[in-house]
Amino acid sequence: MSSIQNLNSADPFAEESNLGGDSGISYVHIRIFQRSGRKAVTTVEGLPPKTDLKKILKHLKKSLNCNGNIVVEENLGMVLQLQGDQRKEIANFLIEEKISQKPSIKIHGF
Amino acid sequence: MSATEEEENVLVFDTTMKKKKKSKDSGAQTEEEKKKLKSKTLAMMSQQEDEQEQEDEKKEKRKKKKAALLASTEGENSEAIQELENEGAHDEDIEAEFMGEKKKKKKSSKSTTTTTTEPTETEETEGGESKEKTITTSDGETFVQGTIPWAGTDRDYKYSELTYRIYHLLQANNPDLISDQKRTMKPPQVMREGTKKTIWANFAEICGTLNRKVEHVYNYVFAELGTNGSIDGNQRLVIRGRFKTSQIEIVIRHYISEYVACRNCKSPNTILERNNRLYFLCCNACNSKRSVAVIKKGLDGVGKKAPKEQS
Repeated sequence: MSSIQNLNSADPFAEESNLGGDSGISYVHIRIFQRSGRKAVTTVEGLPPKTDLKKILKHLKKSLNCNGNIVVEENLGMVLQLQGDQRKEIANFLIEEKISQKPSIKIHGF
Repeated sequence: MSATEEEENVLVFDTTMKKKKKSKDSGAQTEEEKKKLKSKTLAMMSQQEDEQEQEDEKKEKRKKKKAALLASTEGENSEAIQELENEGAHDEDIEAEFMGEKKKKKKSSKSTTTTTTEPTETEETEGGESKEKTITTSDGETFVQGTIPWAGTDRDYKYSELTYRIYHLLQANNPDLISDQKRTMKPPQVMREGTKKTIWANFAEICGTLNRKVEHVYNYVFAELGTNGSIDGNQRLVIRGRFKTSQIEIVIRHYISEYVACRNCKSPNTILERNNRLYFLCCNACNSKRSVAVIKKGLDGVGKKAPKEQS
């Protein structure tokens, strides 16, 4: 019987936390909000507090050719806002600059 | 199972959630039939579990035999082992046949809608049948299917080898337990109402197949799409904003992977339970329980501004 139980515990390897479910890890949420028609706004929440958001914003604005803003929310803290659907670009940037790892980035939306 | 395999599985899982557009005929099925099938499948599941236990015990015995053989005769035991293998394979075959019959039944019950079979899955099962395929694990070791890498040697079994072996035996004999089953869903029917609203016509139906509350699903959908909306008189979901079928589909897929599919066995046969303000995902197939993330809306400011303009 014990072997069977072992099997059972070996199988659920798939308990990879990148599927979410546990709030222990602080995720970086990248969301998209649809505005009028094709236009959209991308928001980035939950960036590590030690990061210099102003610098990031400036760089993103320049490299993505869009405007952006830092919004301070009560619950979420500092939130980056960027014009347009920049989710992938932002995710790539965060990973490349090692601001956060891939599993801790959550891209929302369609 | 190695890490890569596991990763593969996760991916596999995602793809099995793919919906095809041909699944119109399923609509003919009534609720009653569904319920019947559900109970049937449940019964079969338990039966299979029992059988699995028996089989595992058998396997263990076999392994022990082999180990004993290895210990006793060092040199020429490969033949004996081969024999044993054959013997084992034989009764496995019988069992596999038996299972196959059942599986068919199950498939027919599950085939209420169309699905996509995962290409990797078919490959793997083929490999299991031919018992010839060599597969490289993450450790860089190659195993020949159906053979025992430690045969004829005195060394300890490696964990990876054992897990690999059991994984493939299980897959060959009892594909229901380990392989990715065909899972089916109807595609969402999405149409535009005017220029600014989208209607998701078969929303309630999809919630029904997922066995989730309508509120939970639409909360998720709205949070994920960053909009809001409502349910109209015909149980259709009205979403503010323009969305395509493909976009909605992606959202459902995310929802399934997060709130429907069991994380351990990937079975969609799960229940979402609420305990102490926390949601728990309970699997009916493997009895695992796991907390799931609360649906969180992002920054409200952006969403807030838009409805004011339009309402």
